[in-house]
Amino acid sequence: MTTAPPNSPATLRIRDLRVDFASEGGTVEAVRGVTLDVAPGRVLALVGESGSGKSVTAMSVLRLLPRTARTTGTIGVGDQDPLALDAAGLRTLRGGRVGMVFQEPMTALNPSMPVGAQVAEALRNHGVAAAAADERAVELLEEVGIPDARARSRRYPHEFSGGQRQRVVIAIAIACEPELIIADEPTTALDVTVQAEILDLLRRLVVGRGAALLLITHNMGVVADIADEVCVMHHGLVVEHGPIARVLAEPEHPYTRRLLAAVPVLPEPALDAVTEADEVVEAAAPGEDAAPDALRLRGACVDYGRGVRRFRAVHGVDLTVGPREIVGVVGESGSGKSTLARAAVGLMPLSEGEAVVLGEHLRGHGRRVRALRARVGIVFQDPAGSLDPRMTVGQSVAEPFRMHPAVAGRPGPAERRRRVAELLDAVRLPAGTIDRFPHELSGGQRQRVALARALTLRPGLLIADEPTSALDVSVQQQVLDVLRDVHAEFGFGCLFISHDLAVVHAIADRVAVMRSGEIVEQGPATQVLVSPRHEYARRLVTAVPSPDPAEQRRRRELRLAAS
Amino acid sequence: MTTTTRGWARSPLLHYVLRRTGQALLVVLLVTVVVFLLLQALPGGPARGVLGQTATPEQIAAFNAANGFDDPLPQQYLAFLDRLLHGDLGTSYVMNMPVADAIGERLPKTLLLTVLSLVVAVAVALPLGVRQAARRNSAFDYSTTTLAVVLYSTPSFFLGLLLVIVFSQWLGVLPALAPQGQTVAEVLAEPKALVLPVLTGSLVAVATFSRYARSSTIDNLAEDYVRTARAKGTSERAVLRRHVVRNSLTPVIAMLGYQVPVVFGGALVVEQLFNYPGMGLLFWSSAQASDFPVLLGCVLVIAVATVAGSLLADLTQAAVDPRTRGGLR
Amino acid sequence: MTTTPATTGTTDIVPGPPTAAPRGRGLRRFLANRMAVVGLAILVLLVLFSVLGPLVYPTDQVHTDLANANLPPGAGHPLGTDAVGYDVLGRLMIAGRVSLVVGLAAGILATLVGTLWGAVAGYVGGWVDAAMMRVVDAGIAIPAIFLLLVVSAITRPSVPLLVVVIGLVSWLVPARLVRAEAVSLKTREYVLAVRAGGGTHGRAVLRHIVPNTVGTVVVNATFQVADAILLVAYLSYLGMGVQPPSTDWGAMLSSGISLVYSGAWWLILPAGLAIVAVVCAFNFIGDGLRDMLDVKGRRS
Repeated sequence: MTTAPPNSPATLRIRDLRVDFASEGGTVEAVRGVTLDVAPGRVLALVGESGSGKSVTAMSVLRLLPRTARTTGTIGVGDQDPLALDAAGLRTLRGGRVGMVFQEPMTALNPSMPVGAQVAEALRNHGVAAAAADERAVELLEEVGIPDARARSRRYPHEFSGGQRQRVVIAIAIACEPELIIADEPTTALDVTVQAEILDLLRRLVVGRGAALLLITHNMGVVADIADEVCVMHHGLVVEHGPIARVLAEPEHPYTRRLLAAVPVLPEPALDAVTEADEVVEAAAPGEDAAPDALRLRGACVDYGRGVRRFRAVHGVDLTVGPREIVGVVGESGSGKSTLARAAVGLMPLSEGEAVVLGEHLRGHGRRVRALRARVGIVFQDPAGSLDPRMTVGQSVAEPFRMHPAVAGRPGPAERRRRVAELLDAVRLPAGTIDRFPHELSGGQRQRVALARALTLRPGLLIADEPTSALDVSVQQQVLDVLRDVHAEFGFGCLFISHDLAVVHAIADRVAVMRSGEIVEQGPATQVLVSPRHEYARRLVTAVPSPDPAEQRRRRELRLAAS
Repeated sequence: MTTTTRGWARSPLLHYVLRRTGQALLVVLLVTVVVFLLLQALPGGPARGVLGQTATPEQIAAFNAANGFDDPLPQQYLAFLDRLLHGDLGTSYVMNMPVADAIGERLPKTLLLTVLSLVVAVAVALPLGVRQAARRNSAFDYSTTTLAVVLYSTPSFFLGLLLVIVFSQWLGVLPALAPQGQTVAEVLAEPKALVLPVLTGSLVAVATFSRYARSSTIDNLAEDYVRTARAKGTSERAVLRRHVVRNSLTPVIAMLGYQVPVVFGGALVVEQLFNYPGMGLLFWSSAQASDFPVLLGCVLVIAVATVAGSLLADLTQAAVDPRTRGGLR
Repeated sequence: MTTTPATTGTTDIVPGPPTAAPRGRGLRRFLANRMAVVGLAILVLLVLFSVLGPLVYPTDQVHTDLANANLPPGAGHPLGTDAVGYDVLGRLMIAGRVSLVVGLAAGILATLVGTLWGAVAGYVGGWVDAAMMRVVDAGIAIPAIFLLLVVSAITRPSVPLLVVVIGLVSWLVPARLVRAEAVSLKTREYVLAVRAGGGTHGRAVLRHIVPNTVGTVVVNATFQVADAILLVAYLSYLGMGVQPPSTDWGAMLSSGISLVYSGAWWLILPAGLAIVAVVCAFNFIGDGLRDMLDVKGRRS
């Protein structure tokens, strides 16, 4: 393990930190001996996948872990060890010398307290008088970029967007000019364009004040964007530590190498390159063979609510998925991309326009439509909710046989089991999985089971709604590989919804960019994601951080130049 | 969030108030249907009730014809509804007075008893529940939550009886009979006699409310905003007082509105046990005497109070919560 | 749509082994709740007492024996005799049968009706749901004890009628709970997957929604039984429930009240404590089952 020699004494020193949790199944060692330093004015990124112990490490600095945690080792913030402090000492440390930014801005603020008061509370906790604290809170809100801060400081959190709430949380964290800020996945819950703004803000405010920043993230792009050094954690241990230029470019530890190799990368944006061949490519792409398109949407509109409360989530969408084509739909939260996916297979009614699946209209409830639906598979985002917790994997995957015995050729129990085993093999799950229950599987395994279930009746159309978004990168890579393989083997048309441009680039033939319910640009994947023409698509593409620090510096300049 | 800007729909809160009030009126209407049908189901119908057990079939037929009881049911129902709207709940078989007057005389005394019990219960239960949650899994928490389940499982007549045996028979410090005054003022003139009825009524409610307050506070203590508050150096006491209590007790207080039927049910037993001349006792003695107009009149009054209570609870909650105050859902 | 690895709250950062079969873990959780085990023990004892007790300790509960009325506890009558000379201990046993049978049957009836009503309302949704839930609101607006008294005033109830009536006034709470559950379950992704794949509504409801409400239903049924036992006790106490010569614990207590001031504690205390014990037992068991089945909702 390499420890970067800091020039000045470190703001945060962690030595051999170990954290265990007592749980029903025995003791779980979450952190198994972590040592690291963060120097003033520097940004250290702590990266790793879920369960690596990175958040536990961060939380233990302020002793914010649940009571079941047992912590040993030493932590130094300046001259104090939080692990040895009494309650009063801990309170002066929290918010005073160390500020904290959390992952979920939607829930991190008290819903029944005005935001100004929540900022002021941090100041009052550390001895600032009430009137002065209120005044300073307004200044802080201004500083983090809340427009009209004086008036809005009396507003409640629900009146702010996710990005603005995260700004408020940052204002709370920096209120008492702490020497250390800990940010735990501060942008993970935010859209990519908002993420870029928040990262800029954090860097400016923390480093600008000469404070140290400990940034916890799973996103290599975020690391490359703002960190100076990086610590890679795996199973509770730091496996690699060094300056980002070295670690990201020439990783030494095999785990770091695996992790970096799994990150899908969006090629450099080439905003000036105008591809002449666009029109030609687009016209040639959809299959000229006899098979009907997997999906054809014409003027599709979807409304939520009725009467005066009606809200149009999808507006006039034209989209075609060819017989063996993978079409990616990207967009930020609220863009209507998931609604579009659901409407495409009739889970939500179209209020206008038409949806044609495999050459037939998907309307009504009759036998014809049920038979048509037998040829549609669907995979959702949430690995926890995608399988019935009371059914075994085998039962879930075989369920389509029972729903459509005629389509399946009326297989008997033995035949069903044989075919389920084949499907599980196709998604690279071990044969023993067949009798397991969903809660016994990991997230990635569950998503592969969901994929197997969607493929049971050899669909002509597969809808994949953020199928990898809840997964760690290495697991995401496995699921994407499996999807690519089964696509080659089974040959279906696929509508692939994702917020992650790099993932879509890795898998899709064509891409559509959605914003506020409309498609603003569509075309071949490389063209749309590398040299987009629509202004919003350009903003989206340049906001995606690259895990290559040099490339990321270029993107940052591009982005700042554009704004 | 997005709504069109047409007229009244512009305020989602107003929209909610109107929708919720409409629902409440619908429920009251449904209750009147139930009561009307019960009236029809009475042995011998309304005529037997008015004319007494000795009425001949001829007398009943004549009475029915004269009072429109031969009309088709929907028409009778409309007439019934019309009478209700004019405050006419019928006439008691036994007391020879209008039901509305009989209830009007007793209702204030029942309200006095129930409001006192609720105030006592809330004053004890909310701090208790918050304390239990703050010291979750401590000996204090275990013993008080177990006690709450025992109290909840104890029928109030048994609890009241035990209190009477202890405080009035053994210790002789409190009377076993509730105040017998005719008016609220006369009742209040005997505060000592009110102690046991109020105590009996509030103990079971303490068990219910503290359970709610405890679990609501526990839920809120697990929220992210509590972690944010701790991370900025807020003391545990201030976390509870400034952040958690408000968020966790708002729904509990609003829940009081949903407790109206429970409260009236409790009053029925307490009044019977301590012979307190309120609506509960009126109801009980009318049940003994098969005085159906009074029984159904009471049911109607309680049902309207219940609907009003839960309406009030929902609206209060919507008005207090900053998330709904500005724009609803 | 949120697009993040779900990590909210501090508990999620705690890694845990995702294994261990749910049944074994559930049973361990139930047993870890000490009060639930106590409740189960009390219930078993009370059932044995009521069902097998009369075989071990036979008494005449049909013929009154005024010569031996109001005897204090003593030889031959461990808990004394009541105002008409019945042996209190023996009477406690046969009263327990009525209380338990009425409570269990009414609780189960209420649960069945409520589950069906709530599942249909929640799954169908729209105006059907709205209309069905207004009916529930109207039912809740008339407190059960009042409605029961009105019914008893019309006709003195037999035990089966008592079961039906109590069951029919108690189904509202489970109906609300199951509806809320069904509304949430029908948007679960595995239900959506069935519908998108051409599964019928029947399959969605019977194979996926109903099995997944079992936890909520079972826990609530336990509380329903507790409440039904209390309700029948109240009714009997008010003199409108089980009629002599049959009796239940509430009726026993009621008939003893007039004599309690002359010190006849054995006429009310055993019956009262029996009610408290059995209702506590069901409530403790319900709490334990809730831990075991991981049911989120609270009783209302």
